Amino acid sequence: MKKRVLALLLASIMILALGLSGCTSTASEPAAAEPAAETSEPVAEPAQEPVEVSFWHGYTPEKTEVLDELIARYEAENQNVTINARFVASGEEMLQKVQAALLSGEEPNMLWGYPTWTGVLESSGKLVNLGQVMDSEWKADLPEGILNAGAFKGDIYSVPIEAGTLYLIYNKDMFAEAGIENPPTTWNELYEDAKLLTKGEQYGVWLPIAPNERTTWTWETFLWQNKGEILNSDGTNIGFNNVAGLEALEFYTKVIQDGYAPTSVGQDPFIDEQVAMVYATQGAANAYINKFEMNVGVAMLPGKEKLATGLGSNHYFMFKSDEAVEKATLDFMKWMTSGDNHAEWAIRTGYLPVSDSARTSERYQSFGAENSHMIEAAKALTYGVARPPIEEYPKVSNVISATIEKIVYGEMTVEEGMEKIQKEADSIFK
Amino acid sequence: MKKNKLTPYLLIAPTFVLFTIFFLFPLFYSFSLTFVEWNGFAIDKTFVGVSNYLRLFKDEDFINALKNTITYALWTVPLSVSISLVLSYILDEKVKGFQALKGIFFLPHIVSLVAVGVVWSWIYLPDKYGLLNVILAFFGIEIHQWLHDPDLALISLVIIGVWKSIGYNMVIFIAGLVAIPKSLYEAAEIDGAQGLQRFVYITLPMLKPTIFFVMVSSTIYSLFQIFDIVKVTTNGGPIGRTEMLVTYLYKVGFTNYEMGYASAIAFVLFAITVLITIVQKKFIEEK
Repeated sequence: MKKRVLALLLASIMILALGLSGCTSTASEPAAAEPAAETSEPVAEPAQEPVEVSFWHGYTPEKTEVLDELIARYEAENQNVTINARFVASGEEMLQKVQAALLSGEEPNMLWGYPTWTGVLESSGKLVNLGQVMDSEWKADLPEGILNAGAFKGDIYSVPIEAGTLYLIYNKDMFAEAGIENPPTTWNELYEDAKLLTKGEQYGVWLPIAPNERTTWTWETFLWQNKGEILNSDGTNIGFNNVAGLEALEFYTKVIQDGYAPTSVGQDPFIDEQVAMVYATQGAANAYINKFEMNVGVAMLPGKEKLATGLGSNHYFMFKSDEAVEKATLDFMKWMTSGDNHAEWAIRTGYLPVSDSARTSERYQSFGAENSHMIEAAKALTYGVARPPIEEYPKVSNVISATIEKIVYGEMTVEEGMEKIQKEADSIFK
Repeated sequence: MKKNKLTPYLLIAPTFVLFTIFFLFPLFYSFSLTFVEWNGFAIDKTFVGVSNYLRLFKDEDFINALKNTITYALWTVPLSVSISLVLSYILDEKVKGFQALKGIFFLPHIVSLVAVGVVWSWIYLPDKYGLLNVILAFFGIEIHQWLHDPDLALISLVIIGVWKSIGYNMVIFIAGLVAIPKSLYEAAEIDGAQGLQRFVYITLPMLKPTIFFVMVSSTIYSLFQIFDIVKVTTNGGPIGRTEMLVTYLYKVGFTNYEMGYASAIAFVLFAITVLITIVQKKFIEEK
């Protein structure tokens, strides 16, 4: 009997310990992470003390392979540093993982993500103000527009690692069949071409309507082309409840309602040849051209008042930890974003390079000569407009895309839709 | 003697401790969140009193989600309960290959909901891309958009829900049917009762407790757990026609980052479920 009770007691303690171990370690960690090194002064590196940097990203397996190769090279150059790169989640789901990690003090040292997350991440108080620790030579190497995509309240909290722009990708065979020689350059031409290209189950262009960021982003290019802005001049509310915004909303939904763009699509409407034109990034163009061997052309997005496109960039964030780790993380970020290393990363992953030193490198120049669609994308980059990296942006984006969907399905008119967006924006920006 | 008194406590200790850490604590913590405004990242939470609950009454999206969830339950529960009852009754009448059929009907229940969602979203693909449309076209039936059609999306989800739950309900019904004494049927047969009469006057009354159990569990299931399939297939669309309470609270919490408001929605959902369970329990006790 005694033995049995003892065994039972031991078992209970073991289970208890198992249950608690998760809690205790997480509870103590935020305290350890507190001393933040926000100083810009260079600190002498502790003599070859081994440093481990945890790095969360959302790359596809092919890109992860390239990343691992580059990391191995970096580690060979920096013997004491180990970069533990790990795929955690892709897209917006990553932010949810980070949220859980931040709450339990399990956040990585380095995070790959979207600049639109800056606001919410900064509110955790654990984000390193990178603008203060980056050296001037490095900052000068990054175009201001892309660097500022990660600016929040005047500070820079992230370093761009990849850029992409939306541009027009079109199916040359379908264009030839419809007797269209050149891709559209204005809204009117877009509408007319889409009309010519629509027949039976084939549509002219794909303008997404699902309630998500892709829909909002695609629509925003129309807003910018019409000289509209997402936010008002002091950033305290939306700035498109005006003629520019209404016209953009009207044109976007009209193309769909008139039947020249599909309301429902399969896996990829361009590959399925359901549509002749898509608004997508150079990554998609790469896949259509190299993987699916389609006869594809690329062009700048059609404009109206001016030319404009969405500038998308992925960024590296850094969370506070101890000095040596922060220093190693910063060094690795610089290594990845400049010169030949970055040129190689861009070439092999299909992203556009962010730093001037990479873009002007011999390696990237000779690559561009053979890949004209990448040159076209780089050209589009100069018309790129970034989305505001404010805390409210994700909510505003949700409202815009949900409203576009409702207008297309005839639940409300364009004016009613704009009214709804304004009403919701008022409560978001209250 | 003393140690004997200790033994039962030690026996329940592990479960009790784990229950407290992983269930009671999160429950109370989440309840405390219903009174704050918090994005889930910030260090500070702002106390807002009951305004999160008041906001529910003015939130069109919440009311829409509530309406959809109830509509979904009103379709799915009666359909799945009646279909599985009839199927179990037929199977119980010693159909050939009874065990194999039971296994086949049960299969959907053990498949991961995400996998189910992915497979069905392929089946439902629009136009010529979806399996269902191809099959229907073979019989000359007009092609539908299914999950992308505002009028058909919820029905499409109901079909998945019914298909998924039939097997589980059948297992319980068959257990209930087996427990009905065969002598009752024999007596009825001597009195000249036909097949349908036997079902209505013997099977149904004898099976009442089982039916109620299945109804309660199906109702709770369709209120609380209709998440994975919606997330994978429609994500609440088109135009919010398939937005459920659980998917909506997920969006509020993890897309809009309003943890306080999301917790308030969760507690309303909790209250509704408790209410339904109490009402249904009353019914069973009365019988």
